[in-house]
Amino acid sequence: MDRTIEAARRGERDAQSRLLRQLQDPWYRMCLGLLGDADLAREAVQETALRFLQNLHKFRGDSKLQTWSMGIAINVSREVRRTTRAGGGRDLETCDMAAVDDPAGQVDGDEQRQALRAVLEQLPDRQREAVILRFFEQLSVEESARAMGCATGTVKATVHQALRAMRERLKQWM
Amino acid sequence: MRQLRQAVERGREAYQAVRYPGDLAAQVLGRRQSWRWVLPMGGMAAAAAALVITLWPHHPVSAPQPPQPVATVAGMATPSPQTSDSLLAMPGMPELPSGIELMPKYQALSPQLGAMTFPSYPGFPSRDFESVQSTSTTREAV
Repeated sequence: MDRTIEAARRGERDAQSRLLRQLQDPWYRMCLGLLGDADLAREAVQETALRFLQNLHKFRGDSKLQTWSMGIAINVSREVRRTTRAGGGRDLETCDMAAVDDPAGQVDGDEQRQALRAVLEQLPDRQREAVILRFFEQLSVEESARAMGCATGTVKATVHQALRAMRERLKQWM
Repeated sequence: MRQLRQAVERGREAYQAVRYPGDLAAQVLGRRQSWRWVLPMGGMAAAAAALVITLWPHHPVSAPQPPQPVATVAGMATPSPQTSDSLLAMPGMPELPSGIELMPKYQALSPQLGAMTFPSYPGFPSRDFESVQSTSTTREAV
């Protein structure tokens, strides 16, 4: 992995391709979870990839490459959110996170996923970021804080607030 | 709490199953590759333009030649024997027909000019009479 990173830093295309193929799915999941729109998420992922390659020389190896690159994806998603909101952009109704085949327990699962999606959409942006990083990406508090660019205490507090809000809203939903 | 945990687990399964639609490396690196071609090509075009602009004033400028007398040499009108067959041979100088007056005569242009006569200046009365009168008045006053 380190050799691949070094080669990608030197501008070797094969190494860069390998890294992008490895990171494209986590980036897309994150951007889709934050933006809720497949087209916006795809654009955000491409912008993330460009910035990732431009800033790869700044990666010092203090954290995992994926965690570090998630920070870029989060920043890009924040910018996209700002611009789409400023321009009266699309809402989060087209989120296709629930459109995954799950034959076993589909009725229950569908209901729960719909409920979770609705609850996540209602969360403030920071709380949604924290929930996705902590529970969907399963990053540690430290890694989440690094990706979000804030202190670990902020992540803990944000996650606590998010869970409390989600619990209340899920009670109303179900 | 149990409800929330179940919902989060379901959500995580759905989240983890999401895949990027397409090949990001091809999309992004292809774009970067196209820029990699455009920049050197632009640089080369700019360098070529700069070279042309730099070299343009250094072309030898031919000094203006004084005009050669053309019609004064009588022999130029007839083509030389070497170039007589050439299509570029100069024809002989055209000649004006003789015996035709190109300009009308002076009288013909203004036939009435000779008949024009200017009247004489009008005569002024003599001043002798006035001077005599003024002299007599002066003598009377005295």
